[in-house]
Amino acid sequence: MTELESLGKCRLFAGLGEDLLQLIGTFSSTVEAQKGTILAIQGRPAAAVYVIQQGNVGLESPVPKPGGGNIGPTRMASLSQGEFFEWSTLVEPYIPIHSAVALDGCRLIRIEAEALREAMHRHREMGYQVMSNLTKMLAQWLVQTQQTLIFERGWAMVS
Amino acid sequence: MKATKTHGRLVEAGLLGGVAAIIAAELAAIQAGLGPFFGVVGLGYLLVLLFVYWMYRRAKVALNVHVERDLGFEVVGHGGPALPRRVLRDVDIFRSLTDEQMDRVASLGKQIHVSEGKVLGEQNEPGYFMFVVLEGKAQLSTRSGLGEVTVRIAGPTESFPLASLLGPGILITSARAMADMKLLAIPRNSLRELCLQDPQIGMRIYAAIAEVLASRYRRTLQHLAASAEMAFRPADFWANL
Repeated sequence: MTELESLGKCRLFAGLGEDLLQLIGTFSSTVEAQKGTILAIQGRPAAAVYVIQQGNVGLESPVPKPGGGNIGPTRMASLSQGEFFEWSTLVEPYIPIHSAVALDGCRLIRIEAEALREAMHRHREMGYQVMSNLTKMLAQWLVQTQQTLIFERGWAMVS
Repeated sequence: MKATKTHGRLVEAGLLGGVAAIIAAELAAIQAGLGPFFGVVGLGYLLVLLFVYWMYRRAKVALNVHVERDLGFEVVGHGGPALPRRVLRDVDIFRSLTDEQMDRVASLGKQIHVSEGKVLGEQNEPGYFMFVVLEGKAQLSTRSGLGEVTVRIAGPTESFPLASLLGPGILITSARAMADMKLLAIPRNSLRELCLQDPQIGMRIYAAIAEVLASRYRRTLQHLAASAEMAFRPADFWANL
């Protein structure tokens, strides 16, 4: 699949015409990552949005340990072909919520975040469409996480 | 095909044009001495067109009175310039709008008054309005295996339900007035149409929504992590015995 096709299939860019996808392609590049490569660190400003062309990426967050410290990175989600991560570079304060690590050999499309934000401001239809797509996905993730939290709290109350 | 104001205007123009054409044809037929037959047929067409036009106007008005009649809200004022800018400036989804853009968005809505206990939206049902809280508080809850669980309390300057602006507008929470409330009720379709017509407004509003949702997502993850930490405490205790 070409870079343009991968971008077109990504839900973040759903509804964008070929001209705008080609524009995104001008500040994108394909990168390869080996298994175990840290692609983003939670809390540290990231410079790019990634679209997965091939392979799997894990999103991880630390869980606090009783008495202080953290129990290593805990897998929160696994992403595969066509999905994207580091969307926080499009939403203030632009700080990643999760760390991201390659779970196997990956091929990723790396999109410069600052250039993408600038393009979204210049091409307002693109900005509106991308933000509209992102908010839909954020709402889904929020609901799923809330349901998980309710389930966990429920177990805590029962036990 | 999505209906827009332009489509509406075209429909109205078409109907009125049809009425005018029939009247003109009637007059021409009378002048040409073809009177009685064409009089009856033409009159029939005219009545049909007038009826269709009348139904169309009723449908348009019905959406506007939806707030008052069908949802049982008491309208106390209009949005837009009637609301002080300092009130709107702090609203979560309006923060990045210019004053002029904010006025345009707010003018789409009406100020309404609802009584304590009033249901403002049902989970898994379509949301017809975006509400901005001016006074009072609303309880937002979700159904779960444990029953109805409160996920948020929306207070002044907060807007809800954000889900009404996402995709098909199906609500992910139910909303109920915790006390008597004053709200700005903005029809969802009108706001979305404005966002399409003016993508800068659209982008700014949806960027603000993304910020709000991301912040809630981050907080929920933190609660989840805290739950995990609490679950580990008994394990820690037993391990150290």
